[in-house]
Amino acid sequence: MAFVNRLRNIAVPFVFGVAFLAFWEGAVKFFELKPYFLAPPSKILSNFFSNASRIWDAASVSGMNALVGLIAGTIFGVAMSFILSRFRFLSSLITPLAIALNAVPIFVLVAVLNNMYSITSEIPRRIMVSLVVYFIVLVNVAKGLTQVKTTHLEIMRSYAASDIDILRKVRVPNAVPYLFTALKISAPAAVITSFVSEYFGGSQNGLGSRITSNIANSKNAAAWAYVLGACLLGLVFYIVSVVLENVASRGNGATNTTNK
Amino acid sequence: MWQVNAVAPIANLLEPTTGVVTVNGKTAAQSRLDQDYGMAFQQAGLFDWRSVAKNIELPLELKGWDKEKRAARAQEMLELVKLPEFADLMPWQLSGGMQQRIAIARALAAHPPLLLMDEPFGALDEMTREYMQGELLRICAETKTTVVFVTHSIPEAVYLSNRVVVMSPRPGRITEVINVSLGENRSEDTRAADNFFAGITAVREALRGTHADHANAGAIRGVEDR
Repeated sequence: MAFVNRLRNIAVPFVFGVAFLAFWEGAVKFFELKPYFLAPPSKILSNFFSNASRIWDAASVSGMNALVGLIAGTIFGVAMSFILSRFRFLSSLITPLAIALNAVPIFVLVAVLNNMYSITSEIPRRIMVSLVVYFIVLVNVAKGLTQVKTTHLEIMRSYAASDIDILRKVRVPNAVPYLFTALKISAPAAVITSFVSEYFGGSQNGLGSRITSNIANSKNAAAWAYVLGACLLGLVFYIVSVVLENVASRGNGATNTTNK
Repeated sequence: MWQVNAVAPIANLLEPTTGVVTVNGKTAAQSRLDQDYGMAFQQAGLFDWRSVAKNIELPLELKGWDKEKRAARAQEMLELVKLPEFADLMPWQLSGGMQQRIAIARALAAHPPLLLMDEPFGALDEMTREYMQGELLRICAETKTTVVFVTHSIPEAVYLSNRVVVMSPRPGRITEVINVSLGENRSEDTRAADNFFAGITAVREALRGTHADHANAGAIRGVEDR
């Protein structure tokens, strides 16, 4: 029974996906749509394979920017959340700023950052990714460090535990699931930010800039092939973050929120 | 944050309005720092990310015990609460009553002379609750631990206690201290004994008295009769 359900879970979206592609292919053929208007999936796929090595190169540039930014943003976000949870008055200073910054489409900052570094530098893009990741990690981990059960604090107090003990034994373990939630949100955001950062000039070496340049040259199928590469890269980041979360929470009820 | 009751000032979670609380001859603050007591609350308050054994070991870790000594004591405590085979399970895999037994095992892990309990059985169903009362009496007799136990249940207070301290609601003041003459060896039969009912009546009358005085001050009227 479980197997049948599993099969159904996979089969239904798969059949739908294939039917959608067939419909797309058929529509292009039937209405004789021009290739610069909409490329058929068959052409996109053949473009994807014929350009595989170039797509791979572009994906590794964008992927590397996303990865470096993700790691740096996570490190700074975790560090800052420790400082904020320790000194509450700082939190009241920084939280409104974080909210204000989140309200701005902060991608535009990459244009400013581009002016600060040489035109071929990847640093502005990586800074951009780390900024996006930083705020997601900061907000979530700070919540995990501060939203601790009252009973737990009372128990620690009855053991005459020091603040450091409470941090190590209660706050940090409590924040771990929050960190992985943050990573699950940040991983796709990092990839998207990495692509979008490429729209603001700099080297034309990543997936984002390849998509724009192919569209500019009316190479519609090639642009779609790079979009496909971008999808796959985003998926890889997301899947890795989900796998990491599962490994970290194995045999531990922290993610089992239905309890209590 | 803390419910205002007798446990809070003893545990040094609250300062008393007037006077001094001494715990076995020390100030409350000093006895907290010396960990002279264990505590159990209505919520078991086990740590989700620690196994049952690691939960019991927590106070010992904070005291700096080494690993083998901690593991041995955890196993000893698990046997005391009759859950020896549950050491490696996670808290959420246990029922509410089992979680509360682990919480008691944790509170007693360092062998404190005093155990403070703040409505520890309040969230349990009636059957489990009576079973836990019997277990608590057994555990205290075996470990020679004194217990200060806060409850809203009159039968629970009488069944467990040598002395019942009745407190008035708002402001919480001690109004009467009633001695219970049920002796040391109590069993399920005790619940049907005449002096058990006599004790319940005495406590209820003491409570009625406090409520009559405060009836116009918006005090709670009915008394939970469990």
